[in-house]
Amino acid sequence: MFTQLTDAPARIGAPDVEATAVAATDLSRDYGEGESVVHALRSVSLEVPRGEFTAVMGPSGSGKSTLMHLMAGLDTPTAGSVRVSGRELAQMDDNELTLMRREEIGFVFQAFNLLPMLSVEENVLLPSRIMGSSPDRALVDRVIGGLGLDDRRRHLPSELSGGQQQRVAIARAIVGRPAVLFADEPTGNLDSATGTEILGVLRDAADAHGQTIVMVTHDAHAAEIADRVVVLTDGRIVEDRVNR
Amino acid sequence: MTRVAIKALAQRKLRTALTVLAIVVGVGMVSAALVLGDSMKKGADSLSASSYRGTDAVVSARTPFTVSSQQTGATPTIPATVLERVRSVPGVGAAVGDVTDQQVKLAGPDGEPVGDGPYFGVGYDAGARGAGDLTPFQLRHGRFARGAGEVVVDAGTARKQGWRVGDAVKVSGRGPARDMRISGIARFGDVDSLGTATSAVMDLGAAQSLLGKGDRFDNVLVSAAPGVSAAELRRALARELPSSVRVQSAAASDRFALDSLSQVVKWVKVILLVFGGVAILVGAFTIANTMSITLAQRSRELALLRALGTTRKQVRRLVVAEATVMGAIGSALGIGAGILIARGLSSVMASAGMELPDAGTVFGPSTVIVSLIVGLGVTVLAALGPASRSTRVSPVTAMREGADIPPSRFGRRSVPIATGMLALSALLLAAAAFAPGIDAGGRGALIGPGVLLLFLGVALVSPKLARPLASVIGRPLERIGGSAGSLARRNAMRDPGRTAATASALMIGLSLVVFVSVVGQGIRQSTTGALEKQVHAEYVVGSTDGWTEIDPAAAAAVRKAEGVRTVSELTQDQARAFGEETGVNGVDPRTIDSVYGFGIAAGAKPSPASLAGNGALVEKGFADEHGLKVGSAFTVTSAKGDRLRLKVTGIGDPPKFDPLSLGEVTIAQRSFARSFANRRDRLAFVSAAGDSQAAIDEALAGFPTVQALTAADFADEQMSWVDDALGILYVLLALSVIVSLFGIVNTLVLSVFERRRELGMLRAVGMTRRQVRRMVRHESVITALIGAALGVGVGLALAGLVTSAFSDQGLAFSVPVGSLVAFAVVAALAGVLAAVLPARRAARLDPLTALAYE
Repeated sequence: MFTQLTDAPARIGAPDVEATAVAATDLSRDYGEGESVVHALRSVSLEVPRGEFTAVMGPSGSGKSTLMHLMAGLDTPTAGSVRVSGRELAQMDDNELTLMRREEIGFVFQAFNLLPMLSVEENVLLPSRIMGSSPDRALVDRVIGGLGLDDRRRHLPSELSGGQQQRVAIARAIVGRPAVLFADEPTGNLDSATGTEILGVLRDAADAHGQTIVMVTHDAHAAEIADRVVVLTDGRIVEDRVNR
Repeated sequence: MTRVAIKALAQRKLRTALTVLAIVVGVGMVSAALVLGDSMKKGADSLSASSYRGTDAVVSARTPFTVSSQQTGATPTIPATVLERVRSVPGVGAAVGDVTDQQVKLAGPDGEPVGDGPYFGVGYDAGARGAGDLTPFQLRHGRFARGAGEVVVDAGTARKQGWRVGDAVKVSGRGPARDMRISGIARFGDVDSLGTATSAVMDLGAAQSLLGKGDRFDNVLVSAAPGVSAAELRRALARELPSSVRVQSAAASDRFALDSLSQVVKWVKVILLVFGGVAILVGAFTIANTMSITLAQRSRELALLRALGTTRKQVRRLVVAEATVMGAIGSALGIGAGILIARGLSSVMASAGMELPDAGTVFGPSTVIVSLIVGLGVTVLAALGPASRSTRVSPVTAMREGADIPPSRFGRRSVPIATGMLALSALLLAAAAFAPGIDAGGRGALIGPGVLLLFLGVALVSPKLARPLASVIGRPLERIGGSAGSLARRNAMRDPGRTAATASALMIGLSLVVFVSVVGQGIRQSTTGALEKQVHAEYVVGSTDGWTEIDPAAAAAVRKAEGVRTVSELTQDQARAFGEETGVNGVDPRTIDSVYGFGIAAGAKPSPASLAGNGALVEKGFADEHGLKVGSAFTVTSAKGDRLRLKVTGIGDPPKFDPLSLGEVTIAQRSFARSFANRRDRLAFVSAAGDSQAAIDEALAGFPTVQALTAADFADEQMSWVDDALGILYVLLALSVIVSLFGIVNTLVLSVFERRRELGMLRAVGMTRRQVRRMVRHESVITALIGAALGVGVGLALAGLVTSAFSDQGLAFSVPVGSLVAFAVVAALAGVLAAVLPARRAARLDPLTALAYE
């Protein structure tokens, strides 16, 4: 599906020396204080090499979402460090984090989170609009075409099926060429056939485009598609295996 | 249900608070109007009682019609012999001669005139037996005036000017101002002064001399002997005195024109109530809109109640109960706010020179009852629509995500209903404007509902207009705001119903602002145009306050100034013709035509020949109404009772919008002086060579209350009241604009709450807090500008209708483009202001909580 992307030029301006896309070191996150403190994450270290498709698994409350939020710069750790493309997130203020997310991080959410008043194409172009940069039209066209959304460009999200909406969300995430794409339960709102299809799309993005992906899921079947599976329980990594 | 309602309200504190605030402002205006009106009425009433206490009868000249209280100078006087006759009538306790004039102005030693009128000048015979009971003036300091060089001033004026007993002042009556010394300071009845009036109380002889009345009186004031009732006294006097005099009660004669004070009080109350009503109407829009958004967001909660077995009726009751609680809280706070607003308004009025006697703040039960009924009623009425829609939520909604409340049957038929409303409104307004044979009250009764229907109709169709308007208005903002601006534009367009309802509240206030500004501009332009056409003089000599009359001695002084060629005086008085009251002008036939154009339509210009003997120039409207042609004869009766047989020699058709309000009949000064009592000039037109201002000013040095203006400055000055009136109306309308701002804040807060997940996503994909704030701000500005656009449209339409209704009076339709642009800018700034709080909330939203799943 992404064969046409293989000859895409390397990401401009990103230091190629960095072989690690995102790295968490001794990461802890506590919620609350004193008696009622909850240790959502206890000194977790995780390194995601560029181009790898990692699945983070675990039951509810295991800390997998917290880990993702910290690595994506949506939350600040109680202790430890997060580096994205070699840059430390832990010390950044809100504005720096925002700019970091803008440039280096892509998101795919369980609830799709498309803007209902924008067309498919406008949704895909939204992050570059927010950045105020002119999008790479050729890349946008290829991605939209590659995801089979060509004849849906002018449609509103409400006119699309759930699977199509999630494709739009994936397109929105990858046209920005992020250093890492975080997918938070991307199949959670989809039936199993459509879910499998979306997992295929993500797999293709990793294979054809070398897109680094971190996917949070509680679904073992979904995790099978990843290169590597990290399992969390009670805020600790209990398993870290390579799939193939 | 009420318990659930109160808990539900407590949970949504900000929304509830903002909704309640809208009610508070509206009810506050209404209750302020009532409090202020009642307080002023009490003041006026107590003043009336204390002013005339002790005076059982007033004897004055009999006139064939009631002379306007503003024209006491023109009231015929009575001879001194009447006083002796009165004193000999059995039942009379005491009687004194009295002079009461309304144009005796006080000035400081520097010649600066004091006060805005009326300017009471009273001749008081302090030495006469029983005189103390026959005057409202009660000495506080010093003693009553003796001889020609002393004057007693009222305590209010003395306080404002810092005058003390012994200070020198100037007093203007007839002729140049006279230097006098303050011999005493007096209260007027129970108050320090009579509203804005100044009072100069002189010795009777001094007043007679100052006003050129010889030994004659304006009135003889009489008190009854012990055991004689006031009515018996008046009957006895009427029996004994000649028919040339009239015997009245003091209140009926009303020599201090207190009735006009009561009229002012009544009008102030009506105006405040009207603007309070507008604020309430705007509040109703805000309440309805907030309720419907809140209920839409609570559809799952309501569906859950339904799923748990709550009936539709109970859901409706819950919503109405919530509205009732908010209405009750808002009204209670509004009543309190009303007292504060009333205090504020009365101090604003005092500083604007409209001070009224202070008899304490009256807070009557009617204020509480009316305010509560209005506040509760409007809130509950505004909630009924959303309440009945909320019952249509199906219980299954509780199980689904993001379901909306289906539109009501009414909502789906909004276009035909709105069209009907607008058509009916057009019909009512057109009837009010153009239908013949309706009096002012009848027109008002048509205009009120017509305007209300217009607002409602426009509000109903506005959802259809909101999308295109938001799209157009949003374009330039997209340029400025980048992605935030473009998202703001799309946000404003995504729920046109909500945007439109929010904007409609602003539309009401702004349309009225636009309306008054366009009509004001029309009045200004018509007046200036009319004056340019009519006045051909280089200078116009008139009173410094712009409305009172001047002494002919001032004109005589100007006549001697260097460079002055002609001074043509214009005198006016009341008369009766064809059974109606009219005004008669006295002019100098030799000079008037060179300085003032009557716009002769038929017959001769005013000239010594045409106005000789009984020749008269009449206005075309007057001629048409009474079927007069050149050569027709008719009769006018003066206040003295003289019947003048006049012959029409010319018919004038001046621009109808006549700021000078000249009389309809113009005769030569010589005939005027024979039959009319008024000896003061309305104006004097001066034709002079080159720049004669300095010379004229020097000639007027002895007349501190008289000024000479160039024709252009005179036109401007005649217009200053328009600006004053516009200023007051803008302030009153600002309150309803403020209410609509609460509406914008409310809608934005609710939208931000509703879109929190979207905002979280935007923050996650890299939108900065700054951009989020800008996005909310721009949406607010777009909403405000939609309101401005609708308001300008509706305001222009209303103004067009009114100006065309009065076009035969010469009222022009003229759009003050600068002002309209200023209003749009103010609306945009208001939008920015309204967005401050919601934008901050949106920016502070934690993307994590926003993205969390329920």
